[in-house]
Amino acid sequence: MRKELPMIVTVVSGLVVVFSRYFHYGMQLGLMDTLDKWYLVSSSFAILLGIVNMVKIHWGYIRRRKEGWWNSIVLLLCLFGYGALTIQQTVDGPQAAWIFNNVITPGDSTMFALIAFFISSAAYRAFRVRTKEATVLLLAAVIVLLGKAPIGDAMINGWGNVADWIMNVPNTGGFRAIIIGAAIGAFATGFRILLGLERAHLGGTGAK
Amino acid sequence: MFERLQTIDRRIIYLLLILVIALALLKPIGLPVKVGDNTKAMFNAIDALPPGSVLWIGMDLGVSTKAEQYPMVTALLNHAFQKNLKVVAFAMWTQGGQIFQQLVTPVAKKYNKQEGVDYLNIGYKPGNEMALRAMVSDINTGAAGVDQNGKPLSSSPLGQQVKKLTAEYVNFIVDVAAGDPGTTAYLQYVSTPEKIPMAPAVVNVSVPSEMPYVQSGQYKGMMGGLRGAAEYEILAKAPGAAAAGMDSQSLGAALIVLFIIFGNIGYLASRSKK
Repeated sequence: MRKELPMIVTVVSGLVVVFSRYFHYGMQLGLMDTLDKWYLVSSSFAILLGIVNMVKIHWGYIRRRKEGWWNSIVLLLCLFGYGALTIQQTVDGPQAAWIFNNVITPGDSTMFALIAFFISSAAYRAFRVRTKEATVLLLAAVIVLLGKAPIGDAMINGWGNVADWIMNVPNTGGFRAIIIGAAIGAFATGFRILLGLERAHLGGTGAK
Repeated sequence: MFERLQTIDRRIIYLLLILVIALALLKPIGLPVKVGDNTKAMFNAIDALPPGSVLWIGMDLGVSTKAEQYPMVTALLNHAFQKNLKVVAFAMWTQGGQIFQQLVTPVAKKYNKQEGVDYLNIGYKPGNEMALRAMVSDINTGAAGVDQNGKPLSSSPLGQQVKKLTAEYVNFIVDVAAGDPGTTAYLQYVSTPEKIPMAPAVVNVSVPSEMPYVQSGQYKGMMGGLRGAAEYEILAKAPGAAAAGMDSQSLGAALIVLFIIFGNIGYLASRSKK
C-alpha cells in the first residue's frame, strides 16, 4: 500500500476539489471554503517542515565535518537568531528591521545586480550573425534593447515605436501561443494525475 | 587584427559597464522619457478612482528586485495618497510585508497619512493563491485575523472597512510582482471572478508574458520594469529613483550594443580570413 495509498489520497482529494468547484451541489455545500482553510493550515505546517528538514541536513553536515561545514553553523545561527528576534519584537522591531534593511536587502539586491554583468558578457559572446535566424534575433534584440531605453528615441525619432511593434505583435503572439500550450499541458497533466496515470509527484519514475 | 574584437576580456566589459552606469548617476544627461501607452492606461485607471476608494497592492516581490520595483511601489503610493485613496497591502512573498512597511513610512509622513486609517499592511501570510481565495470570502480567514505586526485587523478602521477581497470593498488591484505567485493568481482567483479591475507592475523580464493579458483588456495597463516606474513617476509628478536611473539604463544598453557590434565585426573578420 506504500505506493497505492498516496495515489488513492491524491485521486480522492482531486475529485473532491473538482466536485466542490465545478458542480452545483458541491458549490452549495460550500466545500471550497473549508478546503481553503485546510490548505492554509497545511501550508503553515509546510514552512515548519522546511525548517526541520533544513536543520536536519545542515546538522548532518556539521557532525560529519563536511567541506564548508562552518557555513552550516552560520546558516543555523542566522535562522534561529533572526527567528527568535522577530518573534520577540516582530519583523518591524528596531533590531530586526535594521538587519533586514542593512544586511539582507543590500546582500540580496547585490546578488541580483550581478546578473547585469553576466548578461552583458553573455550577449557579447552569444549574439553572432552565424545564421539568418541568428541575425534576425540579433537585430530584434538590439532594436528592443535601445528602444526600451530613452536613448533609442533620442538617437532616432520613432525607434521606440519599432521596439513597441516587436513587443506588441510578434512577441505577444508567440507568448500567447506558449500560454495556451502551457494551459493545455497543465490540464492534461492534472487529468492524468486524477486518473492515476502520472506518478512523478509520488516520488516514482514518472508516467505509468 | 579585427578578429581580436570577438575575444575581449570580460573584465573590460564589466569595468566599462560600471563606469558608464556610475557616471550617468553622478552626472545625469537628462534624456527625455516618453510615456508609453500601457503605463498611461494604468495611471489613468487609478486616477479615475474617486477619493476614499480602496487600492489593493499585492507585494509579491523580494529585495532582490529592489532597483526595479521599489520605485514602482513608491510612485504608486505617491499617486494613491495624492488622490486620497485608501491603500491595503498584502504579500504572497515572504519579504513583501517588510518591504511595504519600509516604503510606505516616508511617503505616508509626506502626505500625513495614518496607518490603520489611510493604509493597512496585512503583510505576508502563507498559502499563496489559497490565501487570496480565502480572502475573497473573508479577509480575516486569509490573513489569520492580524496585520503585519500581529495587531488584529478589526482594531483599525480600514481593517473593519475592508471585510472581503471583492468589488464591494476593493476598487482596484495593482500586483507588484517579481514572479510566481503573482499576477496570474490575482487574475485567476480575484480579478476575473470578482470583477475587480487590476493592473500588474512587473519586472522587465515578465513584460512579454503579461502582454497578452494587457492586449485582451484583462489588465487595465501595466507598469513594466524600471522604464515603467520612471514613466509612472513622471505622470504622478513624483520623480524618484526610476527617473534618475534612466540615463544609466540608456548608457548601459548602448554599451552592450557596442560590444555586440565589436564582437560581430571580429566574427566576420575571422570568417572572411578563413
